[in-house]
Amino acid sequence: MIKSNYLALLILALVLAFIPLAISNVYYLGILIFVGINSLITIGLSLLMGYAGQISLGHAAFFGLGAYLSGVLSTRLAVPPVSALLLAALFTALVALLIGLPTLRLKGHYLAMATLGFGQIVYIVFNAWVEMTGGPSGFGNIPRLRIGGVVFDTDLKYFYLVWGLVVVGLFFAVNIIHSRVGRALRTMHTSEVAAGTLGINTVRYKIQIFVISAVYASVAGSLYAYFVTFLSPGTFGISFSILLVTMVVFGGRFSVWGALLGTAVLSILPESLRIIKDYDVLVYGAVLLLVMIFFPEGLVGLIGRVFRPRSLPEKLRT
Amino acid sequence: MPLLEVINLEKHFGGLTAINRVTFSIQPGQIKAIIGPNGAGKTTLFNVLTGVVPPDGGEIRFRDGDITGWKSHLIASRGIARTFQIIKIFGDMTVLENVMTGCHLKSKTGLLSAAFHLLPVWREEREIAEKSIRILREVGLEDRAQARAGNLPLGMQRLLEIGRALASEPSLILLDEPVAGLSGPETRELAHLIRRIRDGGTTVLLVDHDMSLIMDISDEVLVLDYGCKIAEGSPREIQNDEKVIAAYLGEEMD
Repeated sequence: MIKSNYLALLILALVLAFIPLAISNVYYLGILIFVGINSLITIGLSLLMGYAGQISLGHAAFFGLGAYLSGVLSTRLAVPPVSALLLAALFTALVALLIGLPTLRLKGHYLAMATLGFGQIVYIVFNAWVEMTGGPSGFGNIPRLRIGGVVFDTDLKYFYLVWGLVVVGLFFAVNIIHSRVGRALRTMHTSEVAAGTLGINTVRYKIQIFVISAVYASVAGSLYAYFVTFLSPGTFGISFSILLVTMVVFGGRFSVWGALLGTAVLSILPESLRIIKDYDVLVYGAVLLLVMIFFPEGLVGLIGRVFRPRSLPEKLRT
Repeated sequence: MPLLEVINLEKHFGGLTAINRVTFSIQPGQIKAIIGPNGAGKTTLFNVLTGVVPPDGGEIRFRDGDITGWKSHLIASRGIARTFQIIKIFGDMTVLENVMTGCHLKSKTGLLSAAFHLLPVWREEREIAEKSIRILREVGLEDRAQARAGNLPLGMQRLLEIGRALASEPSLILLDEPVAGLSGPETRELAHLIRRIRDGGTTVLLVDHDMSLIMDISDEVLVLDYGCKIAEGSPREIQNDEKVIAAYLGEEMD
């Protein structure tokens, strides 16, 4: 099954490589860059939701930590962007570890509550620590990302960078799912008791996956900071956390491909339906509700049901 | 030296005493059976021994170390595996994946090395897949390797659960009613399998209600009634024990 995933990755990479040739409009390219950045977050989040069976309502905050830390480090302390991105990821991982250690030992949805509170704290800090973050009005002049001698100063270069990292992120996620660790995580769908008697420390893997998913969000945040070069707290509030969860559920939380699909649809659709802009939260809420009721396996599950009605359960876990 | 020693073990659920100061031991290489009427505390005993629920008193020693109150994954890592009366296979995985999951303790790929899927990881995956196929052949499920485990009939699910437990290469395996719901031929087949497991070096502790199976394969039998040990000995001794007969048939009226 891992081979068919690699094939899909290869096809995705090829399609992505040719997209800029087909789309010359800078506006559309910009949207696709945002889709890529969001996808990086939701791939990590789907690992947490689909495989560790946990929900995070604070992924916008991890995304924000990546963005602000990279922005502040490279603007105020002149840290090279790549080092800043890595430092931000490391710091975010530590924060996630501190949240995950106490909450993931407990059965139930304590992680969702803890991350909800954490998200609010981070949001308040972004607003209140004016000297460092610029407060509600934000701060700008973040330098462009530079790797070696290459400056990523055009949308075209940034498109390839972001989507290159999405492909890498998908590669890691697919490998984790189809490994000893992935199998250990999948046991939690059916029986944690049985998992324990096989020597699987489920708590440990839940914490690890939570930390990894926070790192995905942090890296996406850094990419966001170096792309828009201006940050303000509004981007990183609870509504974005909920949107991320909606994307994962809509696409299909038992598949990283679902995360990609859900993110693409829910990122591009509002752009083409500008009329609903004022009601977007309402629409996302309705989407979440309808999906949970009528097709809990998301778009991927729905497609699977249409094309392979008999082998759905296996296909779900791709 | 006994493989497992249970000393004055106690477990209460509220006011109910499920296990009442039970003491027994298992020698390596034995097939030992626990019998008793429904509600005698057999499954609770298994749950305490494997760390699914903690004991309220007493001591459990395994391979000469104290494992009392340990978490189940740590007890498993010391070498105790089990099956369940109400089957707990991973129904949404394939049969092969179930057994590969059972190999967890005997493999070591961590999250980061899994993410990169480098050569050692690839090699380990292939090794545990081959090992799992061997185990499936041993329990007779080789041709079902790629089937969805949840779709197997009950008898095969029981075999799969035993195979999954064997994959951790335990020194002691606990089988909770392994032949419940199986047909006559299936039961005989399973009796052979249990003997082969023992001959392969794994000590067996089993709970069942099938007396002819128990008397046929066990070296020793322990009888529980209302959480208390009422008898222990060879199958022949147990069959002639008055307390055991009374517990099963009810006291004679005077």
